[in-house]
Amino acid sequence: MKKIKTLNAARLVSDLKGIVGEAFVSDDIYDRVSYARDPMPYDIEDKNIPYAVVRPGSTEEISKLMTYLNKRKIPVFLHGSGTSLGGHSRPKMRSVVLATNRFNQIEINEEYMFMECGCGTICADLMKALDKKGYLLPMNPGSQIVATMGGLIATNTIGHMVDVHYGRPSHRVLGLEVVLPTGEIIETGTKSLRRPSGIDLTRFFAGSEGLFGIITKARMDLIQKPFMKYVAAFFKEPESAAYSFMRMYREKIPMPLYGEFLGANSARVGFQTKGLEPPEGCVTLATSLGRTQKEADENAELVRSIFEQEKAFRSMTLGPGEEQEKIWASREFILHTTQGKGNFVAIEIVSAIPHLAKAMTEIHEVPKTLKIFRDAEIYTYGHLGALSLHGLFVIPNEWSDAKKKAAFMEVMGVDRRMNLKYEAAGGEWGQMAVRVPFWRKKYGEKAYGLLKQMKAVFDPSNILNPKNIDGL
Amino acid sequence: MGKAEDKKEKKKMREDLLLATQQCIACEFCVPSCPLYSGWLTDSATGRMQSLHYAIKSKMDLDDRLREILYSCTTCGNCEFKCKSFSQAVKVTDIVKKARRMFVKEGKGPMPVHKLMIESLKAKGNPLGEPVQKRKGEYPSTFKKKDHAETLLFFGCVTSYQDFEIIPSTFEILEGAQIDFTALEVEEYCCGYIAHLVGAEEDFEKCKEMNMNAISKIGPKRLVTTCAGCFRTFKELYPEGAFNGIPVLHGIQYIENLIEDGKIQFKFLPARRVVYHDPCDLGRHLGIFDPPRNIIRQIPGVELIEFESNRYHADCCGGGGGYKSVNLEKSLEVASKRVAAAASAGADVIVSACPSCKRNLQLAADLGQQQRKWKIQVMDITELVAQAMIGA
Repeated sequence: MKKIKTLNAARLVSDLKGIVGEAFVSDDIYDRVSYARDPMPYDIEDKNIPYAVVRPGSTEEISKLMTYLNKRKIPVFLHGSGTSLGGHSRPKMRSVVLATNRFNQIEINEEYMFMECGCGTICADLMKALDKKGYLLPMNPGSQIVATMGGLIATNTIGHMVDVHYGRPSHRVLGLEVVLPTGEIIETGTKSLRRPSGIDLTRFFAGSEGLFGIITKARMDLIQKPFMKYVAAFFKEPESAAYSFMRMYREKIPMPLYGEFLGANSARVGFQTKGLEPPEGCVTLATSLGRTQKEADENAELVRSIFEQEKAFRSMTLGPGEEQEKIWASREFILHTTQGKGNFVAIEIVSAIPHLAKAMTEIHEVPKTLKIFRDAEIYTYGHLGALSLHGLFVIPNEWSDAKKKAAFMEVMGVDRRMNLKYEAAGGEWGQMAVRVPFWRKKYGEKAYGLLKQMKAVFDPSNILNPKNIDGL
Repeated sequence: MGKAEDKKEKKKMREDLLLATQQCIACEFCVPSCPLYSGWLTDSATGRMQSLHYAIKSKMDLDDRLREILYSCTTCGNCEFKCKSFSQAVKVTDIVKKARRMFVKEGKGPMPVHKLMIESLKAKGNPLGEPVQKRKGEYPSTFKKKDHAETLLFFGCVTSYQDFEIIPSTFEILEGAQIDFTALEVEEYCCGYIAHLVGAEEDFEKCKEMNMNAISKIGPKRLVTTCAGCFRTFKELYPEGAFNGIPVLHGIQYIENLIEDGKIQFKFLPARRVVYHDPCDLGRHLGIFDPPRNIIRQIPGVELIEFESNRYHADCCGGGGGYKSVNLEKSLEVASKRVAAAASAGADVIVSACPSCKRNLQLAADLGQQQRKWKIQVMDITELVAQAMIGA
């Protein structure tokens, strides 16, 4: 991308205001800095602070904005809620930040059996709206209280859910409204529950990580809320937890919708935070489903029996209630492991089924292999049912930005190595920005070249989330 | 304080705030919970923390825009609770208050309207510009201040100068329960909470001293306040064991005790659905949720219902943290959302235990009623209790 030699920022801001209205553009330094930060554990560099933040209110406004910015080759970074742990939403050069939070419309159409939502709709708001009508949103990220649907669909993530149930957004989205980086508006997909066979541009954008276009509206099918039953099990060895889920797949046990794992350190912190007796060893939590409560109960018993067979020293099924909520909430308190000492960096690795136990052993040994985090405490957790594991390290506040960044990169090296080794490619946080070196290694330079060519087709001036495709 | 010492203290304030603001990881989990969130991040805890962090890290001079960002916070603490749910809570309200102290220390704060309030505080013992004598304006004409009593009532400035019902109702309750009590009348001085909230710590210290002297002179066995802000101030900001170590109770705790002791009995009230609004200072900040609910449940004819967001999740009335005086319109907008939530929950009456919440919700309720949006009554819990002691 050609570097912009001179840009009249005042003129830019004035023009942006002309498109979306004065109240929705800011060049105030504090607004610009606030939208530039994300959960990456080091501060934004001054050279990457955006010129302005713009909050359009309609697809037409986004179209006009992109036409304007494309003509002038001014980079744009999208900001849903900026929750990406993979560096997607952090501006990597002077740019305009386009925030999508005004696109928060929800429409549930029970005649057609789909729902439509704006890209800035908060996941938890949509979950709540669907729940009221007896439907389930087939995604559940840890950031649900603030993550936006546009970001989730663009990342093609389902958070903690096990894939075999409802698939991913790319499987569930019926159609999208998209503004291309060049400003044109296109619609993809269908209003029918029968998705198009063959080429459907929907799938180009669901999972495009904001490289090809701006998803402004999404249509997804309605999923009837199933009955649920909860299971908790406690293990001395984390590998036993991994073997349990490997066995469930092998023995054709109805997979739970969630198969969560808390390593011993994480469980201790999470349980203490919720006022529960800290467990000895590690914990697995599963949510079994059924079309009836009886079926959910039976499936939960099957899951529990697998846990027992794989040496759980204690296991139980739990109905909805305080104990179940507390145990599950302890999982949500995972970031308490930072104990107020600083920020964090976490690896997100996925394993193919046969390697899961081995990956579990290795993740606990990671600190021995590191330099900056040599022998540091690693807090393990993950979504074992979805074959996914995390290892979290605390980055102390006192470290310099340079050291924080180096520490972050060191851990990302482990992420890369383990995903390659265990024949997977992560499953929640996307592939670009921080993972570009991994992607190139895994799929090769030819594939990477094709990806860049695709980017150029959609975004000839390379203005939309540029550099995410180049890596950090 | 010498010049060098002053400089050192200012530097230390900045260093502490730099470290504290690093604790915010910009995850934005707190954003939807901020009552003042307008769609811009700077109107949320994340934006406040990131703005402050950047200004200090970049060694910027404190400017009016940053001041506006930091004084536009009701200190309700909802953000901390949301943060705490997922991470080690960033002490946003502490950081905001420390930042405000930094503004005052560097001669850049508080907000102009707060300066007027502090001037009034110094001159008249209240931040509202009201004459000292008016403090006893709502006291019953029969009231005679005693030199000593077992229970000493402390009403606070909002109750004394801006409310017509809480003082007479409280007197009725205590007289009905045959309690030996008195109140400070014109010798009551602002508890100092507003000075603390806006960063005027020296002025807060003066308030503390004045009240500690006045209360000690009476030598009561307990101090009871009907104001959530005063209560939190006495509990958290005055020294432990202030007032010769006597217990400090909020009115709701005292009334609950009197009910338990059989000194208060209720009669039937006309059927009504009452929703309890948790004041941030009592609820989220001090964890006091049950006494008011226990009281309301015991009143025959009254049905207690809940806001969808209640207890730790309760939404702010929009009036706290010194914010109402900064932006009344926005403050009322927040209060209107709370009143709308009460209406949609099916409430006839909103009851609170904080005169500031009551006042803000009352203004919003009246406004909505004029616009025919809802018809809902707003009361302090003392009013409901006093009514129930007499009956319909």
